[in-house]
Amino acid sequence: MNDNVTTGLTSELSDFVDDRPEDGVFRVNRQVYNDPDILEAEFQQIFENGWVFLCLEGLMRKTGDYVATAIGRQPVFVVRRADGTLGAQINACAHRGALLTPGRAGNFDGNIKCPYHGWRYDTGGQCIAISAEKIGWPEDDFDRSQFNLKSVPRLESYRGFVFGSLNPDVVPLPEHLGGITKFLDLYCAPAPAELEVVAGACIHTTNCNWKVVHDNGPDPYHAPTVHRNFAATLNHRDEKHGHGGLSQTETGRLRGKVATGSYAMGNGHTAFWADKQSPESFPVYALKDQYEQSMSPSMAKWAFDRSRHVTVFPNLLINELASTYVRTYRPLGIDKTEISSWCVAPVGEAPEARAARLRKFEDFFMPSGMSTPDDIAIFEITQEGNQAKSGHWSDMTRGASVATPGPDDRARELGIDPDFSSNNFQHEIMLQGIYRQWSRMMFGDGTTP
Amino acid sequence: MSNGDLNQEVAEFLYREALLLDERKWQDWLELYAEDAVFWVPSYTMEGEVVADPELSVNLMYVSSQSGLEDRIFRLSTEESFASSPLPRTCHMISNVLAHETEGGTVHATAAFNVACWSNQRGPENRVGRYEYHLRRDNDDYHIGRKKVLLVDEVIDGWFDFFSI
Repeated sequence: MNDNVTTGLTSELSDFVDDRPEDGVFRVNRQVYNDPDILEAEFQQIFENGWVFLCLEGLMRKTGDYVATAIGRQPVFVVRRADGTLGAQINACAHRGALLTPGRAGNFDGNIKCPYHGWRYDTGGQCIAISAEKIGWPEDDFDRSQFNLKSVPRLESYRGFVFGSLNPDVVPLPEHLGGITKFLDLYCAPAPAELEVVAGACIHTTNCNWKVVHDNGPDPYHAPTVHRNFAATLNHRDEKHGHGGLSQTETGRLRGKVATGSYAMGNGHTAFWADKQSPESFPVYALKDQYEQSMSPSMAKWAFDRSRHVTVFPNLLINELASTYVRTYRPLGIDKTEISSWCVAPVGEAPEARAARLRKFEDFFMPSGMSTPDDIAIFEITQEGNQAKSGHWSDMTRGASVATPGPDDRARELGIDPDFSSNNFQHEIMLQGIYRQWSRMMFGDGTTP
Repeated sequence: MSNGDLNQEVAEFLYREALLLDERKWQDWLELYAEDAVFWVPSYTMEGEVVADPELSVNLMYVSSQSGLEDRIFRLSTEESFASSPLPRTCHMISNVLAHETEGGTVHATAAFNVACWSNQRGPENRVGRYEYHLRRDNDDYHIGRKKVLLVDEVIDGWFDFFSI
């Protein structure tokens, strides 16, 4: 018995993740989706110990702009400070702990004022005023700095994606992201324009464990079943109403008509790709002639003719299959998850391209769209089914025996070095990568993830 | 027409639309809409404001033609949408109807709604908010030129479709 001292879990790893490549077995005990002790350990070992995605820089343009979010259970806010840099503080007044953010996002309008007793902080987190200070602390040498806000120890961005960690000793962000940075580079390529967050957001909640949401992203295997009605509807639309050009939606991957592949990227991150059947339906296609010459043919293929989808463990999904979708999620409880989504697009994009991008975004990704409701409904029945004590293993072996250890040719072209590559995105090597990282963080030796 | 009469006439039209949705008479419902009808459910920004420009913002729904609404009906007809099979039962309750004629002859109306919904997957749910209509007079009847649905909820629990709001 190798009890995990840090988390207090008294089970062994093999009770939860049955990873036996030599026997062709990869299974996950469904207890991981419904045991509150597991969630408690995940908060400690994953969310409050490693890197988590916090928000997009584009949501904080001006001094004092903030986004309120959480690292695991702990409320934090990210703020654009007076010196132009981004900072992150624990979102709790140093006095009695009230949240300091009036909303989900906004502007602090000068300085940060606690709504409870009116204490004030600057955007760097320094306590600058205490209401009726002299009544409480008449002494001349009173040191107000003891009430500065606690900082989030680590805050780093890559390409406008902001990550934070409560662990001061966590590895540098680029090391954590590894080859994912190449996909984030592609996300912003080839246009020189920076990306902006389009007005409007979608925040929704679903009755399932956070990992049920996370597992769904790198699972294109479900699309031909769950989203067949979506593909059929778009087919109907195209035939009857003649949608074409930018307003056409790419469905090659849903119909199984294009080349695909996937990668277990290491550190629990995943990536998959699908060649586009209708590359001209993507706004980026308009830039092809202009930029193709300056790129290698293989990189041009990655940029213009291949759609990509990545997840960053444990809480970020970036989907560029039909639009440009960024999703983060956080556990509100063992069986309740909050999902926040944004559309990201190049600054200065032509209005017709922007509108087409947005309509495709809404069609698929909104909880009022024509695909995501079906995903959510599946999340929730999966959570229910996971309660079954009999037959408690979820199988994720699919394709393991034919996966390639290390990079394939396309990975080499992109300059990434995945743990495993697959020539079919319906293989489950990505899920295996997720649960290997989960195992390391939950049952590892407690060193920096 | 007095304002009271107009309110009553518009209210009856809105009740009729509600009943067609509750009775799942999709084709009859669709015919209440003009060919270039806009069906708009705005999202809220991170700051909690309703998005201003539907064309260039993320919306919960922004369908700008009758045929776009027909796509949604087609999707239900595939009976392959797990979220919509079996179809949830709905009961639309509409009140606070206020209407006025505009100079262009279009009638603008607002109304409060509370839609009770029961689905196999999620059990009982309620969506509450306000409708803003632009109605075009067409002989003795109306056609919907625009329907904006402002949900009270800023965070959506579960999912919804055109028939459950």
